[in-house]
Amino acid sequence: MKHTSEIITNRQACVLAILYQMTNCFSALYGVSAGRDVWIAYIIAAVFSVLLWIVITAVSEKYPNYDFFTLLTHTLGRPLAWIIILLTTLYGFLSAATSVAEFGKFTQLTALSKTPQIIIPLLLLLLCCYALKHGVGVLARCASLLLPFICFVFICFLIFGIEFIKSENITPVMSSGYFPIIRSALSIFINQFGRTILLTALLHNIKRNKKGKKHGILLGVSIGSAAICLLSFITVSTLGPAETASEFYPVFTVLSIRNIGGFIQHMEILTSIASAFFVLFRAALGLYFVSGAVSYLFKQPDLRIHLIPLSLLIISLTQFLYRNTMNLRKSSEGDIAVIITFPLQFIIPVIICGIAWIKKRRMSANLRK
Amino acid sequence: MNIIITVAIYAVIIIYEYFPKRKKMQRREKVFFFVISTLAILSAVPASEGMDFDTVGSSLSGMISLFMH
Repeated sequence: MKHTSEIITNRQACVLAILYQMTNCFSALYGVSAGRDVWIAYIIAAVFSVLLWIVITAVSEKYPNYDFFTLLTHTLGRPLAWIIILLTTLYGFLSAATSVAEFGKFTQLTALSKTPQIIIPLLLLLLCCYALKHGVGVLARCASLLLPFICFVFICFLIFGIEFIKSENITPVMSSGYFPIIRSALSIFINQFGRTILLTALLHNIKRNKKGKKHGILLGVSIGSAAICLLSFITVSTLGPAETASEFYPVFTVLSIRNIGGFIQHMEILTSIASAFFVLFRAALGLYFVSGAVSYLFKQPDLRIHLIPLSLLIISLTQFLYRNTMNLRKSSEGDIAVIITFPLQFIIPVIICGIAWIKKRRMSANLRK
Repeated sequence: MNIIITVAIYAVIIIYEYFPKRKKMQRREKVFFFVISTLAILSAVPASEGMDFDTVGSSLSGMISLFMH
């Protein structure tokens, strides 16, 4: 039985999923090797992400009393589940650290150039720990409170950017064939959409609605994916493929040319605030997953006790990643990253869900007999 | 200097976390906490390379001299 502060509604799960998925979307654009078709690659990656969550949600509804780790053990047996949970935990570590490192570097490059590198990740992760100690419910309520601000920034980005869109920047469509788009979609999936696999730690915390459904994360992932696809479309149609590829933070460059007269002179300030909120939720939920997995693996009764040491380990990892952020971006989109991460984010979860689904059907058939 | 400051920050955070809870923790939790904390402190040593706390020191001394005036 979970404590009330650990339980969230479908709506809160939806908001958390939106904020989690949109991390770094106001600064970086992945998979720019697809050139002017990068927005199509984003749509393909988003479809993958929604499909993944349709499967996960369907299976989690079949196993209402199981959390993600118990479901893995039930499906694959203890040794294999242990290995997969360990790999996913390491991935969770890396994912949280990469997000924090990217945000930290972004802040360092744009504003706080003389601040020691450790300060931003340290403050951010201590805040995450503080929030998580009070329960995921607190984090979810905080997300609900911040969503209107994020929506405002996003709507401003859309409406005041229409005048800069040039159709010649995105035409002709698919001129370089299918392969670069698919390759680009894989890069985008592993860096932006596939990270939602860590949200599986939240599934057990969601309260069922009146129809007995738990579709909050699926809805959030769908909305977040649509928003990110729109952002990529506007960015590439404003800057053009060459400039999008040459900029390290292309979305931020697009934002810097927007203003709403004297009311809001620089949109990038608002988006920097929004980015801080995004990364807070991503780091917190990544830490929650890691902490839950470590507690499950080493049979620890309370995951909250180990939040601080685990977050300090993540901070140390961000310092290693900081040293070469330019190479970090390249390696995170490289072939090796795709080969390692894509199975962990998409193929293995889908296979596990498939096995769980078949097991449940067999159990139901045996009961009927 | 950077190593000492980073390790000190980590140690203070861990001690602040551990002492209020130590009586409620089970033996297994205490051992696990100790293992991860040790790892975290050890990781602070290589992580502290490249940090620049000197700028913080100079800023603080600048502020202090400003207040003294």
